[in-house]
Amino acid sequence: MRPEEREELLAAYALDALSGPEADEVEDLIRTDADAAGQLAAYREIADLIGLEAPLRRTDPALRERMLQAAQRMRPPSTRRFPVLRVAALAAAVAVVAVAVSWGVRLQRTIDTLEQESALMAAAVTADTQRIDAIETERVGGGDDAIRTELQMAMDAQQRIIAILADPEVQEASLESTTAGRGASGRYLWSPDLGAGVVIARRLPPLPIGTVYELWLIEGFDEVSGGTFVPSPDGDAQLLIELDFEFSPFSVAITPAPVGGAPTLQPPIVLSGTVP
Amino acid sequence: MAEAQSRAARIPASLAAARAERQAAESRQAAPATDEQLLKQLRSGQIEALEQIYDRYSTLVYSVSLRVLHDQGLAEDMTQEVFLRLWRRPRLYDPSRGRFVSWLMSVARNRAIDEQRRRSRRLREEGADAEAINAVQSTDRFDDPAAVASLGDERAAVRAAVEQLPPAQRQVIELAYFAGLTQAEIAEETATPIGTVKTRVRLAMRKLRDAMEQVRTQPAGEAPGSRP
Repeated sequence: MRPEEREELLAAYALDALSGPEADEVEDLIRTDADAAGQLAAYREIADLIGLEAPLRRTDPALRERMLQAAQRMRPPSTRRFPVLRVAALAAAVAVVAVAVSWGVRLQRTIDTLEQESALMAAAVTADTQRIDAIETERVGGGDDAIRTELQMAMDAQQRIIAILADPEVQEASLESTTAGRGASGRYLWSPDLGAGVVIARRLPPLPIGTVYELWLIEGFDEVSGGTFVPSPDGDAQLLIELDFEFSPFSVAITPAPVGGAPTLQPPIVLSGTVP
Repeated sequence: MAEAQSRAARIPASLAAARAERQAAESRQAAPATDEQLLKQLRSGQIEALEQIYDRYSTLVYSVSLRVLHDQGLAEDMTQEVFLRLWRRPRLYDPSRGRFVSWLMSVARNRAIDEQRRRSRRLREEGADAEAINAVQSTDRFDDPAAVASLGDERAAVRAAVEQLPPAQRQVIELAYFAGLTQAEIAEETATPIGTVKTRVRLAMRKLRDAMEQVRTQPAGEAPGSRP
């Protein structure tokens, strides 16, 4: 591809002015080419500013009153902390679980059914408990506190996942791969009662250096980042979503993102799904 | 004058320090809250923060919505919706991920484009003519002077940069951003070869990028393009 063609694609993509195969082409490009991703980010920054060009018009003062009255009728926003998602915590937990694997404890395993997954995780939790007890007994040094804490987090996370899987009202959706997803697959389970969910992604494509994956939670036109994560070398990830904010993420999407996350949901989406 | 200086000189140092501290505190108090501070207050349910955010950005949100929709009523609905969503779910915006104003504009623009597409589909289904469906090009490029004061130099820089684009390049940018058209749709809309549209988009975006980079690196007060 000539440099001009490449720039044409990236500039138009930043403006959301591409459709179909051309958009797919850009999504493939930025997934594998960090320079292109950087160039696109620079163009996006410009595209974000174009709205400032709109001729300014004053709003009707009555609109302010209407909006404020409507806001007062609504429930105020939650004052609780918003732990959007425990992806970061779980990523750490998953890392610890990987250590546990080397100890012979298998917490991550491909499963065929929810029941199998539940049973496996329950066994893993039991094994983790035993490991924690063993660590407590064998090592009393202060340096082990961090390991204990992390293992405890892993165990807590797995217990919450089991609770979600065991919820009879849990809603489930298959995650569909896009062209950029290159055959990735996954499942999304959301428990409205618990206000929590699980995303299980398999065979996510390798990421270019300097990028991570980001989970997006979507309800209607509202989207919120669920945090960034790095999958296992096989491209697998298991993400726990816990909300104490009034939000029902009927859909989820996974996108590549810069380290630290993207400001908004930006293509390419590699996996997405919506619960019924 | 000499008497005043003499009186001032007699003020004990501790009192002078206390007065300076009070003045500094008053000055701090008078400084407008930052977006981040207001959003923090919004997250704790303070409606006064919503009022201040609305006062700061409603003009921009409304103007972007109006530019896309060309309908005052719909633009007002959209503006109200954007701020009510922010009130209900202030955590949809994450300060660590970029500037609030960019996020807010992007939300307003995307919602307005969605609404415009829905409206266009409905008009097509009802058999409306193409002119009504594609009523997207604003002829009025002038600001309402009373609305301008609320936004800073960045907007002036963006406007200047867009104004300096050749008309054909400006048109493709505006059709993509404000009308939500793809390059292929722009080519059809303007009866221009698709290759030409692509080139115009590339050149326009590159010029905008270069102009904004120039603004960011030059001393305050100089407008883009003011150098020889």
